[in-house]
Amino acid sequence: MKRIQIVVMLILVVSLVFWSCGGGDKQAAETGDSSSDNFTRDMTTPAEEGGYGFEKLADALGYVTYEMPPEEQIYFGDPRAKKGGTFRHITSRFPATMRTEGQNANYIENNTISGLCYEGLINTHPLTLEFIPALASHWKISDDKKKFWFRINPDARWSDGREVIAEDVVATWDLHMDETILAPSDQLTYGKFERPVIEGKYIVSVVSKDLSWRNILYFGGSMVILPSYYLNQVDGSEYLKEYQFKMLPGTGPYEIKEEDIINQESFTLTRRLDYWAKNDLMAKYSNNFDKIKFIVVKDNLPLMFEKFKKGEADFFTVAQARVWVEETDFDAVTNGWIQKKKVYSEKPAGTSGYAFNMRKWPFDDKRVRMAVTYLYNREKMNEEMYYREYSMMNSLYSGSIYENPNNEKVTYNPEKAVKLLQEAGYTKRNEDGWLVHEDGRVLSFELAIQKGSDYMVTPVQQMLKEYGVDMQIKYEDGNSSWKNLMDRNFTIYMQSWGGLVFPNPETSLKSSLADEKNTNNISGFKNARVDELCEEYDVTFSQARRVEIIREIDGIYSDIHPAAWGIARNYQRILYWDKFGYPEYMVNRFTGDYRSAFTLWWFEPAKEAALKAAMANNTQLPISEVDVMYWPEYLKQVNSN
Amino acid sequence: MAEQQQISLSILKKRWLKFKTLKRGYYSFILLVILYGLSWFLPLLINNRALVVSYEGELSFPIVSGYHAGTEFGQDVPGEAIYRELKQSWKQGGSDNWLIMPLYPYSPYEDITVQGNKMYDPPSRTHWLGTDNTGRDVFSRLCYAFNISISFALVLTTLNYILGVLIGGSMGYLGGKFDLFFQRIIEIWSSLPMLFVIIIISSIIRPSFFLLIFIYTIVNWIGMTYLMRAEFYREKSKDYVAAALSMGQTNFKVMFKHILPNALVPIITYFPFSIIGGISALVGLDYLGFGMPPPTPSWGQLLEVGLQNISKAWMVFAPVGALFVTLLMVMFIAEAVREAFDPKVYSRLR
Amino acid sequence: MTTYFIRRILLMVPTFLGSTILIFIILQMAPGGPLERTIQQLQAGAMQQGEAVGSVGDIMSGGSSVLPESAMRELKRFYGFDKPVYQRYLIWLGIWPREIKHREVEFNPGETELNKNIGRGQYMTLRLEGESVVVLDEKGEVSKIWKAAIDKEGSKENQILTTLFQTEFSGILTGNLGTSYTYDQPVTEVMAPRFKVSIFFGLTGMLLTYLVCIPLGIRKALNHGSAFDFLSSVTIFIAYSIPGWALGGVLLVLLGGGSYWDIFPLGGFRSPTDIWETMTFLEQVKDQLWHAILPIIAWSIGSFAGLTVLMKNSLLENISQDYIRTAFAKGLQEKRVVWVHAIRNSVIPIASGIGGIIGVVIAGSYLIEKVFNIDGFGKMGFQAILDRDYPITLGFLVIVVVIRLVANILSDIALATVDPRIRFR
Repeated sequence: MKRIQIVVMLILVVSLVFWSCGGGDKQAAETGDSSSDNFTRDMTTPAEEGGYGFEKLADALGYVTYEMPPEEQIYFGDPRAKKGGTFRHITSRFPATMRTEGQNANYIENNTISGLCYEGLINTHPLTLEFIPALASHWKISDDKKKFWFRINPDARWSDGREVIAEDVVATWDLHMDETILAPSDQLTYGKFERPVIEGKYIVSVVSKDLSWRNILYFGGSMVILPSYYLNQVDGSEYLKEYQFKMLPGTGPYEIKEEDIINQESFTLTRRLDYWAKNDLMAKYSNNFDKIKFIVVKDNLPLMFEKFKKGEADFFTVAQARVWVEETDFDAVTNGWIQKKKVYSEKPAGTSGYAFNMRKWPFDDKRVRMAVTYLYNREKMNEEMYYREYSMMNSLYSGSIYENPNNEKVTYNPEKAVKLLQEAGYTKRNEDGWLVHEDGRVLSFELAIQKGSDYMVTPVQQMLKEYGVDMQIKYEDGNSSWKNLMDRNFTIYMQSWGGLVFPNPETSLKSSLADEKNTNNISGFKNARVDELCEEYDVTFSQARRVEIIREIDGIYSDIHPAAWGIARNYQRILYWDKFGYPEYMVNRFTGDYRSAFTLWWFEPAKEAALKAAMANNTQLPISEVDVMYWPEYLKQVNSN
Repeated sequence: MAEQQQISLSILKKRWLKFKTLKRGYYSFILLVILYGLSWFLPLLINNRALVVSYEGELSFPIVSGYHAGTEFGQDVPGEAIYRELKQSWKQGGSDNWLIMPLYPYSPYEDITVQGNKMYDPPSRTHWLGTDNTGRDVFSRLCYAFNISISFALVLTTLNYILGVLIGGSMGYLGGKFDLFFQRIIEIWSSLPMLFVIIIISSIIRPSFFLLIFIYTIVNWIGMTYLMRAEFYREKSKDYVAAALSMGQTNFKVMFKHILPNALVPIITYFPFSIIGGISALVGLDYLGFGMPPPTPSWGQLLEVGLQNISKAWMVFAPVGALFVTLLMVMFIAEAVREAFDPKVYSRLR
Repeated sequence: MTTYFIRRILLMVPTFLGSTILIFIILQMAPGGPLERTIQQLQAGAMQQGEAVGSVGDIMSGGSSVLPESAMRELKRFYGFDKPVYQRYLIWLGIWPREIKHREVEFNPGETELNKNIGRGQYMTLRLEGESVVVLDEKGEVSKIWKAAIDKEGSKENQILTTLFQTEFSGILTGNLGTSYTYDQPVTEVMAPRFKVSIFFGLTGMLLTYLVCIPLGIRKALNHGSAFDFLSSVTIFIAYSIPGWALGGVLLVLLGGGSYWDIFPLGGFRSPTDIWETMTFLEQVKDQLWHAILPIIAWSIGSFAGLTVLMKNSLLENISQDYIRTAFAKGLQEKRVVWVHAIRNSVIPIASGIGGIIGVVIAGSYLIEKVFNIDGFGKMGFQAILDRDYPITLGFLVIVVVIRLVANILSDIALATVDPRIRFR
């Protein structure tokens, strides 16, 4: 199934930057305009416990204070932004729950809700990925880098008006550690920490059990804080039931009202007028839509597209090259009513291609793996089937700074393939034309795919067939396929993984996982040097060194070659009705997908009026440039300095 | 005994003669039989392998002998000879070598991998029905799929009939506890979720033609059983059965020598419908992705690709048209068969 | 006769049990059950299949990516896989106690008594007594509600793991079909609205089919062999050879307003709830019909052929029967002979087929519901199979089984009433 499922914590980075605008600092109090000050302030808590006045002590206590440089304002929201309007988005699944944690809550919809309705303690900068404030206005890291302190902004409020306090953090951690919420990976992630300690009303500290640069991200960034007042009234299983389709009060800029949850049909997020950080410059110009409506159309891409064309949705992401090239020249587009954009960003392209099972014949032999790679003519497929829309992938971290530039750029090379196969002992062909090994084994294996991907693999089958390699294809349903993969009961597997802003090679490359079932080391990758590097990676706090490490791993991986890489895409293809304003860069630098529109775009009444007039009179609107190259150019500029 | 057989023979003959007079059905029948017969020789008619190659005085028959490396014919390709190109280059070069291609020289499998094939080629003189999303020839795929569809339906129906007549017939004829017991078994059996059976089996082995038939028969035989049970049940109470029994015939003989010929009418009239059911079933399975493994040509797969590309009309019309023509012919046959087998004359009586 | 039907109804019981056991076993055999599915969700993150990765998700889990044992135990317990198959079946039936409200309690070496918070400020005392665990309530009496057992698999060398739980008898016999894994709602709640949708389409479609097919079949029979007969045959077979869902998809594109003509709404059972609720009753009726037209066309287009042919043949057969000859011979008018005598008898086979059709109607049509984005019974059932949502799958199959059993009896009754020659003993 093409379901996009997500491990919540992993999205840490995605969600981090996604909220990138949740930050709050003392500016809120200083912006004067007291419309936000309709809540009472707790002036009794001493500054030492995190109360007002703490900012003066922060430096002396070793806390980090972040101030946004004014020139970076644009990346936190465009000052031209206006509030108002509705953004209608079609999604392919109605979430099984509106919870952000626990069973069935690790789908992309829940992640989106989590990002818009709740906040973590800290956040990452949309441009530089350094830490910026969210619920915590200041934070401190111990010298051994294992203990973190966070000072919660005393201005922060839950949507029910209660203050956000240190106890909320502890209660949230407790919830994640409760096994009865049926989300085992939570216990894995948050089990890396001791129970957080309340150091003062607004100060909380936590100790991580192991040293890793990622820990502060897990705890401070990916864990959205939930209100202890409500959490303390339920245990894990009660939480699952009680908040199934009911929102816990949040601190984020949006909320979902109960009447806006229409089961299996739609759900709508409403902007909160009393959002505590609404005057903070880091949040002021983002989250502009009054409502964000998610309309559900299940597993029916053509209908989604029709609905968008009819105007029942505002925004559409085009996944297939064919649709983009052949089917986006309808009237509304040529008239400029619908704008067409190809937005480039540094969003990790992920990995796709054919993973070999190196544990068994025939792919235990590198020569055979390489031969298949040389025979996989992806350039031709790109040329003949994908309208030259894609680039070739030659790295686990294609298109990012982590890519090792020295990786072999594999291109179609049948001569080399034939030679390698001969060296490997496949010298003759039988009467059906298949290669036969000297020991009599026919070079034949099976590839299981799911419905709908056959057009991507049958040409490869033909390419291999030409040179005597017999790849049989069969359909399997998603679950069987996964089960066989995890039981290592496969020979070759067509995979696509999404990419991470901060790579985590350990889970898929560690030798100790190679012979264990149910792990993500699919190919059975074993390499002592990579193990060493993985260990070093975790405790390396310098980003520059981390890049070096990952590049070295990438190089080793490319050399051992457990996978034949496929094609990559470093941009988003989007269509939208021309009634929105957006920052020049359109989407976030590292997480640039459709979800950037929720936070960064705004509704432009003048444009809507023009659109309506144009549609009524059947006239043209200006058509803007399709390619949005802001981020590639930005990168060029950075590199040239 | 012999006399009786003669009578039933002559009845069959009479019915055949009657059938022949019903032109629509008769011609459909002839046409379908011919087409299906021809479809077994498709590799000779529609293929990209040459029938005969004469290279430097030596004859070879790739269509029979299978794989020939291109180098055998002096062609500089790493794999199998590309006969279409070979033919062209020999013609242009005025070479003494020659080869004969099948009538329609495109295989149902060759896609964009082969130089010159483009995806979504509209119908033309070279590709009669255009090409599909990976550049495969639609006409070629359609024809091969015809053979598979009809074979599937025929084998499936035959198996269903055998099971249906054996089990259903016994149930109807023997009745009593046997009937009661088997009815329960059938009721329970019919609750078998077929999709699950397919999922389970295909996660272990790659579905093949016969495997699919096997799976489909598992759930499909029940319909025929009910029909036969009712038929035998009814016939059993007729006098001739009692007469046969009183003459000391065994149950087995009574069932198959006496009742079965009398139950032939529903069996035969039901046959074309069962064929249609089989064809449609395969289309549905292929469409859902539980059918034959790719790249097997199939109407369901063609239809699916067509529906994803509605703007490319030939890919919708080709499978729908093929389906329509086949079903219509089967239907005409069905009408004629029914009429031929029915002793009554359907004229307006007044 | 009555005894026959009573017996039939009694015989439904073993059939029902047999069917459910069969289904239960098949479900256990399917590769990749709900447990694996959950693990996949947690562990794999996004596994997408696409031409180039859209990279929405990622694959990385904290550290070792081998899930903690205790969490796995909790999952197994949730899905019931900590018990043997026969127990699961009996629990599902509702004649074996179902364990609810689990708590894990771990006894450290030497400990024999522990207090456990069971929520809402209440505590239970667990006392180890050899191989068994006794639960005492706050008054020190043996609790009637809470039970406890030793978890042998989870226990380590000297640490004894026990589980504290309540039990209840709830299963299909008590009307509890369980909770769906994918919708996270009680199965009955998931099914009810979809059932209504499917009934609506099924019945309307059936009605339409009968309204078209019976008159058409009659006309064709009366004009057997004419040009009309031939042309209408061709027409209904064209319709028959176009799969309904395919036609539906094409019609939506052509008439849905997205690309060509804006005549019908783009799918859905009715207008979105927020609009629907503001409508007057008349508008609602109109809206409902407006949404239903295309799906119904797609739904019924394939069924015209079979029924029309059946009606035609049946009438043809009756017209040549002796009683019709007799009627003509007696000098009755043709109209009267045909309409009163022949047609009445010709409808019999069609009427007796209704039982079977009901089953088909209820099962819905996955493909059509998918094409039109309608949440019907068929789509629910199909998706549940792919998602390994066992409670839904079981519920769906059980309902289909029950309906078929009832329909079989109904067919028999219909046959017996209509045709006096048939006797059931």
